[in-house]
Amino acid sequence: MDVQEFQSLYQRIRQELGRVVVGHDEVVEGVLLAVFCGGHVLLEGVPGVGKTLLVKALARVLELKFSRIQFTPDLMPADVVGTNVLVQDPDGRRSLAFQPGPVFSQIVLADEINRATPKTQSALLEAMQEYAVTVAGVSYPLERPFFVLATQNPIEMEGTYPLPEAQLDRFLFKLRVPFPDTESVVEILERTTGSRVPEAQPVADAQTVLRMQALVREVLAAPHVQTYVARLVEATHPQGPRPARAARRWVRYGASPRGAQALLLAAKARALVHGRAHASVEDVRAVALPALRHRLLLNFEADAEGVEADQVVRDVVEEVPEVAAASAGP
Amino acid sequence: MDPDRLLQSARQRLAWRRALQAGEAAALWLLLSALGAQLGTLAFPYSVRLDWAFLAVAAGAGTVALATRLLVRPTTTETAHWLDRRCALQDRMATYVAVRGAAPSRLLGHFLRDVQRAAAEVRLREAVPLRPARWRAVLGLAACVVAWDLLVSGSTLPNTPARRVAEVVRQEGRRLQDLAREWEREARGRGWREALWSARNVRQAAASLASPRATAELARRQLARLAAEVGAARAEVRARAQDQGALPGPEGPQLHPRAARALERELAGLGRALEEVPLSGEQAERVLRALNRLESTSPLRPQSPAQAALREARRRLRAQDRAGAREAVRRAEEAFRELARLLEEEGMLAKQRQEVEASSLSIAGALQGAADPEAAQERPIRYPNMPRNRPGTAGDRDDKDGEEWSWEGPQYGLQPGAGRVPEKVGPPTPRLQAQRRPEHLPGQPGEGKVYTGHVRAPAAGGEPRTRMAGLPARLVRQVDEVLRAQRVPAPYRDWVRHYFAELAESAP
Repeated sequence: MDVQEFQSLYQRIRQELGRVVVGHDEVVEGVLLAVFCGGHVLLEGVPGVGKTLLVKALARVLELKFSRIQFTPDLMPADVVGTNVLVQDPDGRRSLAFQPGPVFSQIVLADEINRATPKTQSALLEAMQEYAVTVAGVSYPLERPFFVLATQNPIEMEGTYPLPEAQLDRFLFKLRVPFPDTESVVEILERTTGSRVPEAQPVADAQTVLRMQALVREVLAAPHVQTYVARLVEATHPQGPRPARAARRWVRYGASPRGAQALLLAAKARALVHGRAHASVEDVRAVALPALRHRLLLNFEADAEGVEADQVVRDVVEEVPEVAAASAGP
Repeated sequence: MDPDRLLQSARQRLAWRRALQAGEAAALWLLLSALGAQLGTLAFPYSVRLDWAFLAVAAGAGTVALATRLLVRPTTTETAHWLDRRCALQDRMATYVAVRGAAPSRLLGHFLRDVQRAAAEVRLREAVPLRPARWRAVLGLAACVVAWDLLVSGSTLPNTPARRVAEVVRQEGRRLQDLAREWEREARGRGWREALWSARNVRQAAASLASPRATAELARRQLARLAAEVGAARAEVRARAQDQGALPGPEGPQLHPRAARALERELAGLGRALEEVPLSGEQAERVLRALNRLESTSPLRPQSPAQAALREARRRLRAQDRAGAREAVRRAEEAFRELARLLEEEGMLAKQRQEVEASSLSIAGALQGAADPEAAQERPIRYPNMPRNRPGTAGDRDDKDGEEWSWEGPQYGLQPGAGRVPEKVGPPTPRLQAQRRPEHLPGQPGEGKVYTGHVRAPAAGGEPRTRMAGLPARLVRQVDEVLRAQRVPAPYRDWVRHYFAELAESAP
């Protein structure tokens, strides 16, 4: 696969998704970038804006196995990863056999993930990071590619369990799904209330996705781009050597090195999407918001003043200069 | 264009661009400094010369630009970043520089083709423009500097050192104007062409000095030029006098104009004596002796026309050729007359130069005082204070009407509000022990001849007539203001100063 093929495939995937998902261009692009990077996505938005539809359509377009887990407070880890059940063979002998849970899929929609208990949430940790599940001491690898697309509702916070930082860090992107504008709503109505509901057609398969993921890692990243990523992450740390003003004021803990990895990988994927074989600072800036917003732990002052992580990330991106820009002049 | 060639060319242009920008910034700052300096002339007595200011700006900007070109050279990476930013190449060139020697990637070929394509579209002149970005600001500032020089230069704020110096300049201008008018009148009446030309120059220069926008620096330059011109005219007249036989001395010709006039008159007498008929032998002998004496004592070069005429007259007289002798004496008289005229003109030019230099010194003194205002405030100005009642001093009394003269002059000088004002104001000037000669000949204007000159003689012996006393500068200024505002006549001015000095001394 080369750059042109990648870009062409991307365009086709976007086109197919666009038949089903109206609007949300940024969200669709973010999800696809995460897919090409092999990362997981946390989607945040009010109910009914098309989160589940997007994930389903994605699974269909990429021809990947799809499963959905509706997280509830009484959901148990075994309900997610599976469990050993007693089975009886034709000879009448009984034995324990592993019954895979819904996580054994390729695209897992963890719907309203913040409604489950931390114990259940953490059941996803190993799957997301190690691409394997261990039950009763036996490790079961997950089929690649494997994505977790979790959703959470930002308005009904009562009785929820906010995701711990460790788990948040495992998501490549956190994407906000906004309410669609009037034109998009009209388009949705037109498409979904008629006699024929459009459906997305598969344009790729698992192998293609894996090849796309491999190509992303071949994208060139110059040292100044890597240094810029490092400085950007470094600037989010208030105790770091070069903290940004916003970070010094609003942030308690900054982004982790995993955040830097996510930034650069997403920048590479974006470069390919735009037909380039090299990542640029512009790519890094473009993906900084979804890649960093969930990795910043804001302090009390930020909570008190209603400052959101998005604003902090934007300020940090604005403040951190390009590595050689200062010497290169205007 | 090949990316490597593009980078190389862009690097050169970038170096020049930075040099020009540095020069432009230097020019901007220097022009701002010049404008600030011009602003300072409103309060402080210095001047900003436009030609020097622009020369400094050009030299400074050029030096900075050259130094920047030689010392600051952009690296290839910097150049690549520059091209990326200017041409929206999305870090293609910077990445190209970084990955040129790196391990090959599967996408390296695609990337290199991409860079080639992007580099081919780069327009180097647009990517690295050499035209400075702030040239409008530089031109605007330069225009402001010129406009200031044309429109505002010479203006001063009230009660500032600059205003005080400007007033001195204007006073000197008016003084020189008055003097130049007198010189012009006299030179025109006497037919002194050089002196007339010089006096006109002085008047014109003085008029510019008296204008409200005259600056001290301009005044000093003009006065220096004027002094040089007057000196040149004087040298020319002196050379002509020397051609007429005058011997050169350290400060001018050795022969005084009045001595030349005296010789001329004596020769006129001899000429009249030679016309007498009959001329006795004794008279002829007396004339011969007089001619001898004149020839031997007159400070003229032997080859001068006057001396030659005298020798000729003597020879003719010895040969009993009275007519020839009379003609020779007439020629000698003419020569001495011309010599006297030249010497007088030279004296006039010397006076003009002296006054011009005095004005220049006065302005320089005002500048010096303004440059050190604290010292001018603290340093007591030595001002001559009239001694009181010094009976017995020669020349200090006016015995004309039998009253003992008092140094106090008008009696109100001692006690404010009391006293009397006698008709005669102040003591007569003590005369030096020298013979006085009337300076003006009687006659109708334009007919007679006017003699002017200085009498040089040793100073009077004895104790000094004045004693020095320290006065604060504030008091002196107060006195000067009173003198200027009240239009005190010149004879009374010393006494007004004395009055205030007494007030200052009596104050606790």
